[in-house]
Amino acid sequence: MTIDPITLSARAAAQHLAAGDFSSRELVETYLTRAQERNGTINAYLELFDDALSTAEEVDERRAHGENLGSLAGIPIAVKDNILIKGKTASSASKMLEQYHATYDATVIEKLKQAGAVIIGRTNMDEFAMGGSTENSAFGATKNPHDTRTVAGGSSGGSAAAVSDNLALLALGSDTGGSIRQPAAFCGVVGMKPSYGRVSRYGLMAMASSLDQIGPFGKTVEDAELLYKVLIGTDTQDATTVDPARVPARTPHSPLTIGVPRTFIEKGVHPEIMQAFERTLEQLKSQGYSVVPIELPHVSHSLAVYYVLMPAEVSSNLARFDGVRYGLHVDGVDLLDDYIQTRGRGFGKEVKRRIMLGTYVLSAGYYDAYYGRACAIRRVIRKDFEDAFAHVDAIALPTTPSPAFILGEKTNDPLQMYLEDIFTVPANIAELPAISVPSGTTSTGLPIGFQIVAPYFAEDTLFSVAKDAYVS
Amino acid sequence: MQKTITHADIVRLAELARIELSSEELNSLEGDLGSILNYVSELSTLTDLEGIDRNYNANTLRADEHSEESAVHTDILLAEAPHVDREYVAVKQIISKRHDN
Repeated sequence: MTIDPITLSARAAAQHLAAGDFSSRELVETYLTRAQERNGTINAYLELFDDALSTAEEVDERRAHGENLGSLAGIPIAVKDNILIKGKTASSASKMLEQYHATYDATVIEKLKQAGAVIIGRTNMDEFAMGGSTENSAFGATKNPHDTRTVAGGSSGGSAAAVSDNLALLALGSDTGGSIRQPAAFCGVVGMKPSYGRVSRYGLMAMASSLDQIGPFGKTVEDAELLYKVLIGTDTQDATTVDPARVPARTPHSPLTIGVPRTFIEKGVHPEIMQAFERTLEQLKSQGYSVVPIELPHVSHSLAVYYVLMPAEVSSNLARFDGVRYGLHVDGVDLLDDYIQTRGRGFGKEVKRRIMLGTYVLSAGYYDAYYGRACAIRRVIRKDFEDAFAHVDAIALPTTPSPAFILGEKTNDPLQMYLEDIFTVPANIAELPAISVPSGTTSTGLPIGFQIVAPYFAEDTLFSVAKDAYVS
Repeated sequence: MQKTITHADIVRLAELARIELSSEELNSLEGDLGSILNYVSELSTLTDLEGIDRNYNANTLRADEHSEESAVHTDILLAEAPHVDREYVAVKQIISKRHDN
C-alpha cells in the first residue's frame, strides 16, 4: 500500500476500501501489526483477536461479489472489555471475570457486525469501569501515547489510547461519569457520550444503570459520528432505550448560541486549559456563534449526587458476582463463605470501596438521607439544564480541570481522583449528550479537551458544534 | 446526614456486601468512606428541591409467552458455571447452621 493507512481517518479509509485502493485484510493487518508492536509500551489492549484477519477477508470477498456492505465495512475497531462479544473473553479488566466468555453479543456488537466492522481486540479499562485513569485495571495501567509517564485517563483508557496511537481506526467505550470524554481529552481524540436512551445497554456490563451509555471514539468528529450512527436505536432488550419520535423537537436559535457556565468553571482549572478553552470560544465566535454566560445554579452538586447514586447502583449491579453462575469461584466453608471469599478475592480495591459506599447509602436508616435526596437533587440539576437550553443551543466547558497526570500521582487519595470528574459528571446526571474534542496541547505536549453538552436527543447540534470547535 | 463512620459500621457493611476484607482493607476503607461521605454530605444543605422528571419511554413489556425454545441456551450458559451437576448449576447446601443467612 502506498497510502499510509495509519494516518487515515475511518471515513477516508472506508472510501479507499470502496475504491479498491487497498483491501480490508491489508488495512486490518497494518493495524494489528502496529498494535502488537506497541502494546508492550502502551498496554491499550488486553487481547488482540486471532480471527480479525479472517473477518477482514470475508468482508473483502463480499465486496468482490458486489454485495451491499455496511458503513463500517472492513474498518478495524477496538471494543472496551466490558462489552460482550459472543465467544470472546470479557473481563471488565477484573480478576473476577478473567476466564469468562461472553454467551451472547451485545446489541451494539450485533450492529457493528451488521455494519461490516472488523473487531480486532478488547481494550483495557479501569476494573468494572470504576476509575479515571485505567490504573484500577487488574491487568496493568494503560499509558498515554502522548507521554507514557502519564495516564491515558479512564475508565475507557485502552480505547482512547488505541485510537490516539493509531492502534485502531475507531473504538467503543462506555461513559457513566465521563469515562469516554475524560480519556478522550487526555489522549487527544474525540470521545462522545450519547443521550441516555439513545444506545442499547444490552450486553454492556452494568455499572450504574441510570447513568451508563456506550459511545464512540474517533480521530475526528466525522469518524465518531459515523460510528455513533451505527450504535443508536431502540432495543426490545433494553427498556430504557427511547424512540426519538417521542422526544419533542427543538428549534435552534439564530445565531446558534453557546452557553458557558462561568461560575462553575472559574476555579481550579489548569491555566493552559482555560486559555485553550477561551481560544476555542473565540474561534466559534468568529464562525458566527453567539457565546453567552449562563448559570446552572445546582450543577456544582453533580459530583456529590454522582458519588451517592453511582455507588448505590454499583452495589446492586455487582451483587451478581458471587461465584455461582460465572466467573471466579473461591471455595469457602459454606455457601455464604463462598460468596465472601470469591468477592474478597475477585474484586480490586476501588470496586470494593464503591460497593461498600453504595451498601451504606442504601442501608436502612440512610436510604432517604442519601439516596432519596440524591435522586431529588438529580431532578433539580436536570431542570437547571432544561432552563438553560431555553436560551442556548449548546453548553461549553472544559472536559477536565487538569491534563493527564503522572501514573501513581492520584492513587493514594480516592477523593482527589473523583474530583477529576467534576465537569463530565453533570451530563450523565442530566442524561444529556456530550462530546470532548481535541483543543490543542499544554506547553509540555499534553492534550487538552473542549467539551460540548447539547439538549436531550439533540446529537445533531452536538456534532455540528463539535466539528466547528475541533482544534487539531 | 453528617455522621462519622465507625469500624463496626465497616464490618457490618462488609457482611451486607458479602465481601471479605483484610484488617488493612477495613482500616483504609474506614478512612476512605469517611472522607467521601463527608464530601457528599453537602447534599443535606440544599433546601429548594423543585426539579423535573424526564420519561419518554413507551410501555415496553412483552407478551407473557415463551419467546424462545426451551433449553436452547443451556449448554453455553453451563459452560461458564464454576460447578455443574448434569444440567444444573451446583452450589453448596443453602440452609446451614449459621444464624445470619
